Amino acid sequence: MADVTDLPEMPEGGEAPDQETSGRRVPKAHVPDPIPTAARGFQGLRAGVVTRTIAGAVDYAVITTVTVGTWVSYVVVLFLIKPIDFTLPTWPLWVFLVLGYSYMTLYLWTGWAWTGRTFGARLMGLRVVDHRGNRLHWTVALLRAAFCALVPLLLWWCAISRENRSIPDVLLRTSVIHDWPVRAAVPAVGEHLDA
Amino acid sequence: MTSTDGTAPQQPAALPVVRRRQPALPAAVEAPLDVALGAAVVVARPVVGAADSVVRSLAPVAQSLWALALRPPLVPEQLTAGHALDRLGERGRAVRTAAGQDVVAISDDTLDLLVPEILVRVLDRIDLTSLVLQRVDLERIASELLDQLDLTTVVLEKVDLHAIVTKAIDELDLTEVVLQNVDLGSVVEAALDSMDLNEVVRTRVDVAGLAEEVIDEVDLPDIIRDSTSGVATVVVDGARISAVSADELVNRWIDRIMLRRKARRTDAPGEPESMLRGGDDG
Repeated sequence: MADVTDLPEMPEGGEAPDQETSGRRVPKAHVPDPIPTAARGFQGLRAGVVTRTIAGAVDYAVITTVTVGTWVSYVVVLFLIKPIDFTLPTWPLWVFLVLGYSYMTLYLWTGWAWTGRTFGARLMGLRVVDHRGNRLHWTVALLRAAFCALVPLLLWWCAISRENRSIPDVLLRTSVIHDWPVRAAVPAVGEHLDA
Repeated sequence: MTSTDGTAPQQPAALPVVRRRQPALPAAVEAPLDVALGAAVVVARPVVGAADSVVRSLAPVAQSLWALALRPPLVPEQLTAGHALDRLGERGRAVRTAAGQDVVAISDDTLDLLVPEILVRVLDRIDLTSLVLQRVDLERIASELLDQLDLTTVVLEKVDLHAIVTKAIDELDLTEVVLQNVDLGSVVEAALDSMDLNEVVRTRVDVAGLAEEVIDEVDLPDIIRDSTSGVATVVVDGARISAVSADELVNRWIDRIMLRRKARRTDAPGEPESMLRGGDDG
């Protein structure tokens, strides 16, 4: 991975001309560039293991919450149906695992195929792209989601890989790159008065 | 005041108060006349002196003889010259008294006719302005006048102040006058020192209404939302950059353990959307 400080810095404020610079297109003129200066250098590079692990942990937290929430919802519905004879149901572990795996696959699939991001990836400024740099095809996204949900620890292969690729990345020729989501410009305080 | 007899040139500092006129007699007449007057004075003076001495010495005798002639002894009073003279005197006195009253009346009429004419002629021959300037203590008069007059009342009663002020304001550039002649900083400072601004605002400004108007115009929840969003953005950006630094650290250690000498190839195909677009992807 190239050092951040070795990469050319782009001017603040997005006033750079619309041209190719060092193989990377800079923002068009008059377009505000909300990416911090320190982060511009590694946009488009493959992410490392720490960033991806944090993003994955966030995704797992989301899916765990949803899975447990499913069980809680089931308990509430059960209580509403039979409040007198209510007893706290217990699910076997495999039910949680199957449910969690399904949720995770569905979650990763839609996220990668639709925007290239899950919630964790969005939080950490990551995007999953194919070998051309485009968003994943639905089938590729489904395969990758099923694979990653089944063997999540294969993610850590990117720490050993010379190209920061995990096993699913190698098999499906995908990449997880730094691609911070660009937020819409926040209006200044004075614009509230003008409005 | 000077006269026409040629004394004016002897006072060069004096103002030409009286206008000069030509002499009344020609020079050819004046010289013989002066000689004749001189001769008359020389001749008349000893004669008058001698006559005066004679009169003084004979006066007591003459008075006694005159009294005896007026009232001789043994002559009835009604037949004496003195009595006749007294009668004549009484009649004359009565006539004089009556004539005096007529003279006074005639004199008034005469003066009414003469004085204006004379005054005009006198004033025509006098430079009254110069005369006043030379002879009158104007400063003292003005001072006394001002002491006796209530100028404020006089001005208020006699002067159309509104017209004067309006005319002055029309002709003056008051802004320029104030800017050039007034120390506005000192004025404002003095005004602020003498005022209790808090009290002024409390009594004259509808603070509650103003605050309500400002709050109505400012979308306060939106501002708070934006501020909160800004803080969250800073925190998230910091976490992302810290994670990237941790990535580099881990990669460096692993590469060192695996005895790698070349840097990792992390360039991915394509271009990140964050560098292509200015807006969010939703």
